[in-house]
Amino acid sequence: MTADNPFGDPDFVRRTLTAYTQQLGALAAGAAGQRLVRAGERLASLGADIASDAFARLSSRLADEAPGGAPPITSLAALHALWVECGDAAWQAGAGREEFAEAQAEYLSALAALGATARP
Amino acid sequence: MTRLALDPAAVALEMAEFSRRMALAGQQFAALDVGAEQHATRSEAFRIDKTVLWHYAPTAKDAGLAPLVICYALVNRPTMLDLQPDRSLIRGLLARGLDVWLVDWGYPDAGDRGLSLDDYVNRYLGACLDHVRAARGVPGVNLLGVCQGGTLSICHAALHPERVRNLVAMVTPVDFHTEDNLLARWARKLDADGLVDALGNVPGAMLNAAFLALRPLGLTVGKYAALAAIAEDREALANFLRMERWIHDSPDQAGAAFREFMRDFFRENRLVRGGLAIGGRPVDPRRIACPVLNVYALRDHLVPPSASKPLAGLTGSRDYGSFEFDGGHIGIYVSRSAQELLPRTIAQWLASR
Repeated sequence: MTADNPFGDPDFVRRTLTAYTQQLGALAAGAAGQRLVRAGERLASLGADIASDAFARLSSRLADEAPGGAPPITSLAALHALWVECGDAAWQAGAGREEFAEAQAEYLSALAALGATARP
Repeated sequence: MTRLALDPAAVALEMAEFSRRMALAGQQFAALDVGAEQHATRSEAFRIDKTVLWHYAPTAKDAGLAPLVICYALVNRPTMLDLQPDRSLIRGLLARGLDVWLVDWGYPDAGDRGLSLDDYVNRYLGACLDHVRAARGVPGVNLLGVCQGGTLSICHAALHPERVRNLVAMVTPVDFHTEDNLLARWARKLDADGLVDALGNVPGAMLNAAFLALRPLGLTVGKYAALAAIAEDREALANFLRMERWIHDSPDQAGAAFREFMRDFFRENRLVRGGLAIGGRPVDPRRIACPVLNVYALRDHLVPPSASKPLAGLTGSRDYGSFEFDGGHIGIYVSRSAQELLPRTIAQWLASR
């Protein structure tokens, strides 16, 4: 399943997001920039877990496992709606964890601290 | 076995139709002008620093009730209460003969970073209420607090019970530590002191991002994809644009007040647990003896009902009522079902007291 869709592969998502935050780090000099990179990597890692969970939820909902069978999905609109539903459900579960709240708070603090260093 | 039963030919047609409708929506947007505010006729009655007290022109026979002062949140703008003629809590209240006033906090700038909760709760809100009391010659007003404005109103009523005749709290957070409150869970971990030290005021865009992040897919791609369904409905598109304008019209938050609100409410939950003080004076909700109506939305993702309901046992009022709206935090103002229901509920409750 993950071979067909890279977004179902947590390592792919983690690598992509990490590469992005590393680019930010290359631009930002000093401790504040490094702090932001570390915070971004941690948040990206948790975000990758959520993305993976979302994909697992979507896969499960697409499999006809319900007793009596769930109705077939015959349109992209219905598939999109299911994706949004599964994504937000995974987000609620993952982003509601203490670990995520701490990582997000650290990211915002690091971002603010970096912004402060950039001002005259 | 999979539920996916997509027919390639049907999918191609669906994509073509979706693209056509989204392009049409784009063209319609370009031709729409929603720049002018759609609010009901009103005039500036009083101003203190950036806070403006608006008075709305009556549109119906005076119901003979005490003036109703609406206290909105510091986050976002009160535009939502009077978005357009057919989506307006304020017009609904006016149509029932109420004497409506609105406290508009304005847009704090760098010079306002030192504004505290004492300034907002005691000085600004107090001055607005005193103006209305003097203008109408009444000892107390009906105070309607919306969202965070409800929290501020509860605090004001506790500190100055003589000024408030009846208190209505609408989608108001009271208990900030309930299990299903994602925003509060995030906020508890935030280093508000560090943010304020670094930024002075807290950017409205940052808060907006947090609000959208509560349901990141539904409130972004889900919402925008749904545009295809209304692409041929100019009124619905205009309404969509006004909503978008409101969502992104976020005032920055005065640093000192943000710092205090995060500490006292989100982190330490002092309104419920006790120990809250504003301007050096203890805020004891049990001093609120006036009638209290608590209006909350059952599907509110920003202020879940669990955060609002604890108002029930918090005040010293012997006349407490609640009203559950079957909708969300925004729908309570702008949904079709709310347009008749909410103003009627509030007006009838006030009239019976």
